[in-house]
Amino acid sequence: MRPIKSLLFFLLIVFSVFNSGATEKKVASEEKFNLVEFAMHHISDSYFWDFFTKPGGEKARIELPRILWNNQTHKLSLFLSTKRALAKDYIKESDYNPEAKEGSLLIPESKIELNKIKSELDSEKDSVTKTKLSLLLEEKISKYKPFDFSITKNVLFIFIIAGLLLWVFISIAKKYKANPNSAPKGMQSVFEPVIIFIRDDIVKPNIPHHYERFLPYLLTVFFFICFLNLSGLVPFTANVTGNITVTASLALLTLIITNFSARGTYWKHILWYPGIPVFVKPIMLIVELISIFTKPFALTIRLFANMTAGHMVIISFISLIFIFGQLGNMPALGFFTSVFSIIFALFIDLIEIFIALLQAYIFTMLSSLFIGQAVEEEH
Amino acid sequence: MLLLDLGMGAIGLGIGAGLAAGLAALAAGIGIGQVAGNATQAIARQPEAAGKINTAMLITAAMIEGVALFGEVIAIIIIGKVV
Repeated sequence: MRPIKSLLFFLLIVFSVFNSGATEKKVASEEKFNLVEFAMHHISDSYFWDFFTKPGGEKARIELPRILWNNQTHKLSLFLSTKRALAKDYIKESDYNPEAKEGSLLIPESKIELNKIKSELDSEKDSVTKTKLSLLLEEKISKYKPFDFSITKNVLFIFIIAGLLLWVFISIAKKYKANPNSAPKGMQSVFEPVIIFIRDDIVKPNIPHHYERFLPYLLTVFFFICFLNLSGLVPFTANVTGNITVTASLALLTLIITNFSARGTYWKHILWYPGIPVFVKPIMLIVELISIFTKPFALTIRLFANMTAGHMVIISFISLIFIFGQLGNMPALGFFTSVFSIIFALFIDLIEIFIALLQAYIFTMLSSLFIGQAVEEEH
Repeated sequence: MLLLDLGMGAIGLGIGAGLAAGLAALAAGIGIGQVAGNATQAIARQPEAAGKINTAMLITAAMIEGVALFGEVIAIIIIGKVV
């Protein structure tokens, strides 16, 4: 009886995907499905928090605040949404540059100049002058772009996850302070084994002496990356660790901590590598100096590429449904692929959860390895 | 999506991106396959050490995948230029 029940349950899930056919027909009749634009929109940062597209074609979204530094008049402007910035005479870059990101703005003082160049460009027939004018337009656009400190989707999610982390760990610490010798219960019992695992299996083997100095940073990095990776897999959230600037900042922190807490032995090993013939030492000097920078660079790229690639795979599987639905004007093909596509996408999603945890572990382990190499004593 | 109106340069870039991604995936497959093969052999020889071998296998697999994804990143950058 049990196998039949689970088979019926499985068939129920599989056949429920056919209900998604209602939205597929609309896409086929509106415009061609562009995979790259769809994928890039889901992976990259944006000035709006999009939820879904309403039946009329309008998008249901939350507009995020803009903080702009006008580099011509040297004033900082704060707007609660992009709509309000546009109402205060800021110009949309997409008026002059069709490939611009949605929501990117230019300062109001540039309007007259840019309109002049654009009207010249539109009325010009000669292709050489056209190229010159479009290059001039690009140069002016980059000159009139304000410095953007806006709260984008990624920044908002970093704040949300940071708030979550603060709440979780401060409440756990309070429980430990209140009754120091009792058994852990509740959230403590979830996080204590993980913290003990990081301390005993990642940090202590790599940093033999005075590991307490570095343990807060390494624990923070582990939980920050873990929570960010996992939250990126939930629909309608932001893909924060798939943003190379976020991962580069974390790797930069590791670089700074490694090099500023290094002992004399570390620098001696870099500049004058022991145990090899003298004529090889200048080569090793160059190699070691470059490797100071390639190690954090590899940390950056590893985390960024793993997260981006994972999201791209899931998006590609789901987009297969739409691509097949538009192939040869036969939406039935879309229905057929949706069964297999969703099964594969679910499978990849499970692997992605594992990879999210693994990448946090790898980042922490390599950081502790580099810090350990920097602070180890002469042997 | 007609790609024929992109010009000669795009053909070279397209082949480059495809080769980058494909070779990266191939390299990852071979590398991680070897790691996994040796790990399973080691577990077969000494089942008590299965936990440690498992840990080492996962860590090295993630390292190899990191290197292979360098190639993927290059492919994404190239395709960004074509599109």
